[in-house]
Amino acid sequence: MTSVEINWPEALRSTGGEYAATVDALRQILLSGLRIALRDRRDVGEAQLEDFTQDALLRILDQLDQFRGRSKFTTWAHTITLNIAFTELRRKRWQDVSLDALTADGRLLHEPATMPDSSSLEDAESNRILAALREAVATHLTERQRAAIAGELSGLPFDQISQLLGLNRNAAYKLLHDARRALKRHLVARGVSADDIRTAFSP
Amino acid sequence: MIPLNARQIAEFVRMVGQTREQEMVCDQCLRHLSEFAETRLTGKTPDEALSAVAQHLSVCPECAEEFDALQKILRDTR
Repeated sequence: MTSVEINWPEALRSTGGEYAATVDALRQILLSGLRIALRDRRDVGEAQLEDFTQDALLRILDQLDQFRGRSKFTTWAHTITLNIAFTELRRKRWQDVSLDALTADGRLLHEPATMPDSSSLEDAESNRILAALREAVATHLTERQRAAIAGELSGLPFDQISQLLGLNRNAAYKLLHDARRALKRHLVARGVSADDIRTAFSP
Repeated sequence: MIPLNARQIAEFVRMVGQTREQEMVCDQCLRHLSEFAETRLTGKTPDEALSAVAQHLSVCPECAEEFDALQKILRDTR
């Protein structure tokens, strides 16, 4: 039987030998997926991949009712597995860093040295946008929002930002979204459109 | 303090430009991600709900990283 022919939710709700064989088949698929997704990461070993896969299997079995059949079951399962793996890898990389260490006095967006250089033709426009943004950061955002943005820009994982702010992940996202929205409204009020930003800052 | 480089600042400005009044949060994005990835793979145009996934991915580097990894798997195993 190939994976295409398996009714995964049904088989994972079965018992005995069919259940064990299905879990084993899914484990192999998820492990292969992780090997593909993380093949360029030299910091991830086979034992870790197997741990991620095991954690993912437990979550998948726990959340079987949430599978709506809008994609292949295996694609849905890969999504959960990748979320577990990346969340853990980010946590390990940043486990000893505090938000305070990153933000200090909230200078990150005010440091002239961190701004793009002045060599391109678009420089005047870039500088106009950055000046408006610096003004908005200083006047429109709360200390917590500035800290969260500085953490995000420095690559601090969202889960760590949430934890350090004492918020759940969705509330932390909303905090950042409110900040970005306030900044965008300020830019629009200063005559900076989304198109202006795209033109000045497209890679 | 970790200094930001020009690329990071530019990325932030770009994210501000991409911001919408209403956005889905990461949990909602994750729920739709498998469907969105398969739609992308087949070249179909995403409907309104899936367009919100695309917007979230443009402002959330973590969800975008997981989406890129998922695409890698789907492309390699199709």
